[in-house]
Amino acid sequence: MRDEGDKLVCEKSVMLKKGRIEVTLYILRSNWKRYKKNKAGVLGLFLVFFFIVVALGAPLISRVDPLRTMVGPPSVQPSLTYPMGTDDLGRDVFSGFVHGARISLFVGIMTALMSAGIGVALGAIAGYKGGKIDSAIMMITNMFLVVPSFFLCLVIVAVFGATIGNVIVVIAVLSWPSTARLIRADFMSLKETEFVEAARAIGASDLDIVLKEILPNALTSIIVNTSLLVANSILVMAGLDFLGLGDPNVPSWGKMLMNAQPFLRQSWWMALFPGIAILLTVMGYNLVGDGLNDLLNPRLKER
Amino acid sequence: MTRIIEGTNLKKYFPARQDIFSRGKSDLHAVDEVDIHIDEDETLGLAGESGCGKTTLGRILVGLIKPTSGIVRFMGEDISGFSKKDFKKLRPKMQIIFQNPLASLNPRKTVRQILSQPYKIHNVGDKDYIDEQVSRLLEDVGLSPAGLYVDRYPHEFSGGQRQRIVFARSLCLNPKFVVADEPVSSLDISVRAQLLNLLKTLQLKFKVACLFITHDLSVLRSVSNRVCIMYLGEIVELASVDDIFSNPLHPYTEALLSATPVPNPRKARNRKTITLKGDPPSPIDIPPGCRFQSRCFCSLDKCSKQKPQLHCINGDHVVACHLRV
Amino acid sequence: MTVSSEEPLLTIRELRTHFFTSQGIVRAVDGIDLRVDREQTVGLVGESGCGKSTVAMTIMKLIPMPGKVISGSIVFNGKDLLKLSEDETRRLRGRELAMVFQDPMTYLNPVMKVGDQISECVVLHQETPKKDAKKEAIKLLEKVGIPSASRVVDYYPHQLSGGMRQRVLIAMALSGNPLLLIADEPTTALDVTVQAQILKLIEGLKEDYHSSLLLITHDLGIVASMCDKVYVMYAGKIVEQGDVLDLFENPKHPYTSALISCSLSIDEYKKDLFAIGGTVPNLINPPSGCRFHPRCPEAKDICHIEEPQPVKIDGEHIVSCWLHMQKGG
Repeated sequence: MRDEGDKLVCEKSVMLKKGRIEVTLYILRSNWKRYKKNKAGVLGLFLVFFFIVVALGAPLISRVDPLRTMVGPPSVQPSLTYPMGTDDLGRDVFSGFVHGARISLFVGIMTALMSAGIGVALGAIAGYKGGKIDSAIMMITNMFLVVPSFFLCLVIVAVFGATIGNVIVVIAVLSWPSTARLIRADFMSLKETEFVEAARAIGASDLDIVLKEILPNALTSIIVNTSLLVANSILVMAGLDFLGLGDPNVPSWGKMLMNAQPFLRQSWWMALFPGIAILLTVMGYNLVGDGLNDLLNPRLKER
Repeated sequence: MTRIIEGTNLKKYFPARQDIFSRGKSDLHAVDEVDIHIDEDETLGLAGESGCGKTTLGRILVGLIKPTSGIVRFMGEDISGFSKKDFKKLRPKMQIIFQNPLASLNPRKTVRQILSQPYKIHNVGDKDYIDEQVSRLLEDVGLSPAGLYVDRYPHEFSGGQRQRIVFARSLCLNPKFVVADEPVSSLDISVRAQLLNLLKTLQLKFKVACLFITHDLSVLRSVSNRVCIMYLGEIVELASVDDIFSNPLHPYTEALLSATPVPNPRKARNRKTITLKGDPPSPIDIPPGCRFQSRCFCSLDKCSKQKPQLHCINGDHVVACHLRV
Repeated sequence: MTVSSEEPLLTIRELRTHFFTSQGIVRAVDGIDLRVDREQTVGLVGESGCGKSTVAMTIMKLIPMPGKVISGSIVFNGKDLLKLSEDETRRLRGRELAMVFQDPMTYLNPVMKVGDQISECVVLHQETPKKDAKKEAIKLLEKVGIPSASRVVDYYPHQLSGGMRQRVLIAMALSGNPLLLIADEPTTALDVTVQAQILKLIEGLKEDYHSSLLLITHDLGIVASMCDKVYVMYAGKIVEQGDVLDLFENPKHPYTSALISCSLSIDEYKKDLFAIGGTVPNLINPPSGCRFHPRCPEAKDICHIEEPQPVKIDGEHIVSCWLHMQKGG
């Protein structure tokens, strides 16, 4: 009894000859085909990869110490020797651009992971358990949301000292609420689905259900949200640095912008390049987030 | 004949409003004083319209919902007071098939993962054994050769195929009792027949007791041994399939039968049609007396005052109606 | 401009509506001929994905993107709908041509009172002044059998049951005194006793208003009890058409007879349920030749190669099948 569904399945297996690895590769390939259609998403991906490469290869790309002053004459315009010029103290802007990427990426990703971790855990528990536990967690979440996070960041960093570690923790702790609310909503709707009921009917434990049934279906939201979290933390960190509250021993774009303030007219390159760097990185992650969202929630678009 | 599942005086009330002030005052009477039993190798059809409580009753019998009061016996054992742990052991023996096959299969799992899950949860066999069983199950439900299907995701299948996978999952660990809640309602007519044939074959092969819940009486005619009609949480009539269709006693059963379209134009145009007035009353504020009397076309005075009890009319035919007693 | 009552009300010829999706062209309606006479109830029956809803949407010119009418003509009351401008179409819709949909909750505005929604239609279609619209709305609600109409007119859709909502939709459809009422699975979402009420209502109103009814459904039982003439649709094509008694007692197309055999009835116990193998085909790459041939128990060689043409069996009964092509084709 051959089905139309059979035909679909047959075509794929003819191409694949079974096997889990081939199936995964096939899925990746077809997803990429669909993702490609979103030009903005592809641009975003390019930007993200570009900066990852720059960040990883920083010591090779620019052998100059970004924090060392007087590597060349001060306030030199972009030229062959100094592709992005030098700042008022003779620091190589190009080197700052390249090395700044490292710290931005590091902070961005670490923060996003921490924030996502806390957010998903709390959101999942609140959404799945419901009742009093949900109310309690939501109360805490709302308290954090009400606080103007950037200012709290400032205060905490100013009080406890501006090390990278502190900055990461502070940003993470202040950005998990949005993830938590998102995941809570997902869990609340997913726990009512029939396949979860079916899992219960088979005898699966709560933990099984949360980890194996619901979480994989909430992955879409988590991935998209994490991408946006990275963008957000890079921006916050740049802001903190710009106000002088970042770690002074670390090269960062925000600090470069801060330094560039008095010289905006004469040495425009001091502000332009770190500014573009921040813009492109944050834009990149945002576009990737949108692209992934369109890819993983396709039904909204086709009809 | 072994009695597989038995429910005695089952009640399920849901609180109608969530706030503290109205506890107990207005409850939703989903299931009210229901006695039911199913034997081995038997299919009991459970019919009624939306809000009659058939879905809730099915879930109570299979252990997914705890009844407000009443006893459920599985293979003679009282399972009403079972803890979650106790239930876990019993789960493989009582399974449920839902209406929407796409919704009852986890979209992020492959068929292999879905079908292996019951074995893994109950620690039955090693990887090779499980793989073997999964292949055997797929072939049993007509998805053969199994190798073509195991590593696919639910959205890659047609509706009929998905429902076959759902059947396969429920049979994993040799259940004794299966509740099929509108198993074919979301499928095309041509596919419906395929799946019903499959259900019959599987029931014969595995000797399961089946509770077939549906609102479509035409399906029950060809699928069940006995039929039970529910209205607003109560059983109003219960009889063998032949009796119910040839000699319906309760006015509601007559109305249901009259309202079910028949695919035969000559018969359709010469039928006696009964059209009920109005909509079913709310299951929250239940009027006294017979629950059906507000829509009944032949009610007596007694009907609004005294609630009719289930009486045995002849042999197995049971009905709750003042007119017939 | 009304045409003489001998002329059919609706004549569809060679209609083709295709959807241009990223996966390919979905040939949802691929060359159908259909006719509805005055005061007639015509059934269009088929399973999911056969294109019957697309036919309804095409007649109303409400085809969702990325669909387009490729070819064909739809002559309604003397005018070709496909040649009318958007303005002219809008003047027709809701007045002479009305439609009732499947799920009343989706088609009613949840934040507008039911009475206001009907009044809107009344003002638009009957050109009644606004102050009289509410009275008209109450009258319409009474006509569709809603009790306490003067109270219900101020209710919101969510306060009504499924059956009541469907009655409201029907009231809205009737507000313009339509010549043709198209009902697309109007009772699929309803309980069976409510379905019986609604179908009886639609039948009664059709008589009252002297309208024609195009009833689209997958339920052969509904077709058997309501329709005068039936069209059977499969994979975008009409495979058989005829008088309802003729079709049920004398089906000529293997798909039609299979559907009838598959259909369960409360009147007979079917021990071994007849089943058609396989499923409805993909409309992007439909099978070659006769679209039913992969599932047909009586397929011949020619069925794979060439599409069969319609052949008249007798009177209204026409079938497109190679089994009948020799006779009179």
